[in-house]
Amino acid sequence: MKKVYELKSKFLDLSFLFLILALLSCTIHARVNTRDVNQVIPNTPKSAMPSITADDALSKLVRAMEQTAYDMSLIVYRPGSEPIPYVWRRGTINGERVELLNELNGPGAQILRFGKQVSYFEADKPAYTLAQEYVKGLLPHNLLHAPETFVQAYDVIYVGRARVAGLSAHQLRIVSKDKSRYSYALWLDEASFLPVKFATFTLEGELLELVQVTHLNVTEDVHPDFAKIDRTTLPPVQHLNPSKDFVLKWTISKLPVGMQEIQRRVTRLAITGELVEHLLLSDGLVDVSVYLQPSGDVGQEDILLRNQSETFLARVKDNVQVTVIGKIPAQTANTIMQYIRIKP
Amino acid sequence: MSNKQEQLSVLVDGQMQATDTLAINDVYSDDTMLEKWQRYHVIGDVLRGESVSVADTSLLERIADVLEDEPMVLAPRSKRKYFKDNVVTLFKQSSQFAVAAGVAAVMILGVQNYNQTDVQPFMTAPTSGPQGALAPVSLSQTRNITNPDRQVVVEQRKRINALLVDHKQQLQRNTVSNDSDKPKQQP
Repeated sequence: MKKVYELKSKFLDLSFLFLILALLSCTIHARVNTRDVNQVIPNTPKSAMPSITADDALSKLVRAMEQTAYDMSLIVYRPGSEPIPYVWRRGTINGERVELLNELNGPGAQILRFGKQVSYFEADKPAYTLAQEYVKGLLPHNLLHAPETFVQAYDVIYVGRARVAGLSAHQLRIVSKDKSRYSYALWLDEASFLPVKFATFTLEGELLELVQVTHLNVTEDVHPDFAKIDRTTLPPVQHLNPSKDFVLKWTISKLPVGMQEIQRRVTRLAITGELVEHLLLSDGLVDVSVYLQPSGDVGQEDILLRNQSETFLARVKDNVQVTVIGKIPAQTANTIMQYIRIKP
Repeated sequence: MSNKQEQLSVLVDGQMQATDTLAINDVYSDDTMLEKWQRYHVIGDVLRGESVSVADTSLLERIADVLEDEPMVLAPRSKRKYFKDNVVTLFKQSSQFAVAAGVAAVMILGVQNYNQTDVQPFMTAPTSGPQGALAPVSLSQTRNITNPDRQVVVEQRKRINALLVDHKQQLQRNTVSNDSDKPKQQP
């Protein structure tokens, strides 16, 4: 009986080996096949998958944003509203970065940057210039220029390659560590490492906002239009009062992972003249405002609405209206609100 | 024994010869032979590259045997887990409810504003008789909500707008570089 058992197990081993061999040969065969397919399609690079990590890709993106001259057309799409087309150009003139972001539909809006001066041209108000290092554009600034600022809050994962706007691209995913913020997907052109697509998803995985490049042109020199602009005709630089660091009597005792207080101030709202206390939070990618003000006689119901992709949540409690605004899920806005504490 | 195995292999391959003594009944009556019969076929299928789902029935049988012997001690533990799950879903529900409540509030706001824009309650002048069933309802609704809250709603809208604008402006402004500024006075 024992002998039979031994024999049996031996045979099992053997048959297992056979199985593995057979499977191996199958997979090798399959691989050879896919390679054949790759060679048939002319535009696909013959090299195997480039070994690139998420960090590599982001640092190459930063370099590309700071050095490349490009001219791209893109659209911003938010489900439920019309897509908005833009033109976005960057380049270097006399060692100074120049940039144009132009909204093409309707009355439009233009942002023009020469070095550290950013001019805003909008339909409903006079043009003005601010002394700024950069433009708050369609993609989060830190994503393109300072990826180290959001590593506390988000994980960046390399997903793979895909085809976007006719270009082969690397895809990255950016997910908040505590799953309390929206998640993002970013596609970078494989050749230039410029962004070609950027999607924001809700916690439920629904698309909230999509920035899609439709045409990318990487050039040697800056776009000729920049040379035509007479810089003396740009509006003069507005000097803003340096923001004072106010001391507020309240704080938020527990913030989502990686989020920090970056500014406290007391100000009057430009439209209503009401005095509000304002706390600005940031996790590197998104900024969140928390406002406190006397409620007056507004309604007692909570107000939750979405303005473009920003969440607006207001609640009245003990004659104080608390408002949280930012590109975060409503649940997270609610959590932030619940942790507001009066300082002892 | 090994002679039998060889013959079985030959049988599976369909190359039986007249001299072989193995009969189908021998295989059928012997459990180990039956197992081998099955396994040989599986191996053959894999080698020929046919898709095979290897269902090892012996493992299932063993699990079934073990389960039969298993005393029922899992119950309290599983119950606790169930309770915990329940708590989570309740919590989730409550947060969803909070969101839903907020949405409802916005919707009310919308309705009020909508009513405020068309204030003429008698625009829906009753046409001739039969459709009368609907008309009174819309009339009474417009009367109910119009005046008392309108001021508050306007104020509220204005405030929402003001806060959104301030948030946007602050995001734009807080990137202003302080190079040109005088040194800050610390309090």
